[in-house]
Amino acid sequence: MNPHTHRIRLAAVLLACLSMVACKDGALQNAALAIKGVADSNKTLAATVIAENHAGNISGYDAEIILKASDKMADAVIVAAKLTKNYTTFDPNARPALITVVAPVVVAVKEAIDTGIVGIQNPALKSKINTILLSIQAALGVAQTALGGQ
Amino acid sequence: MPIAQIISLLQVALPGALQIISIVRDKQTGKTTVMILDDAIQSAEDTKAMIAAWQAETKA
Repeated sequence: MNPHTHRIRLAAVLLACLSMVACKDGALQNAALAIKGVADSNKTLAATVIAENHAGNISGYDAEIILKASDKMADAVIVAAKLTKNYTTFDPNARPALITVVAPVVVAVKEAIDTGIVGIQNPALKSKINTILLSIQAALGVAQTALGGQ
Repeated sequence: MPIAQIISLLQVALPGALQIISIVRDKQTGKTTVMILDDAIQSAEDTKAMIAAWQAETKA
């Protein structure tokens, strides 16, 4: 086999390996964008609840329930983002750990949607907060898919 | 070319490729994955600070 054929074969092998790595990085970037989406939606949720509490549209009791969930989500985002940063060094332990972090947040958000906003009397406000929670749920779904979770 | 030689070449080439890929930027924001994650952490820390301030205010 001539040297050119060797080089072409070697280049093909290298490209195949690089495309595999690039696919992983595409998934990583999707996960990062989804985590950022959760973080931003959660920030909007907290700001909305606090503003509506100040305006007297949501009681301190109801606001506290939602803000406690929001605080937990913020904690989970920080853990998930730090774990995802480890992906850039291809830490083999990061992927299952990250899916483990994301899964309970999905459950918590679902519970918040199902029961957490029951105490809010104002239909427009209830709808507004529900929409934010649904956007968080959707972003979490994207993160799970990107990471190969369920 | 022997397979062992190809593998040894890949072992040299891949870490460099990983470094290049790690600086790939998001098409919409122009930010790297690490920058996006840093923004997410900052956003979450802002949220926690906002909630802590509200809790302090309501307890006062």
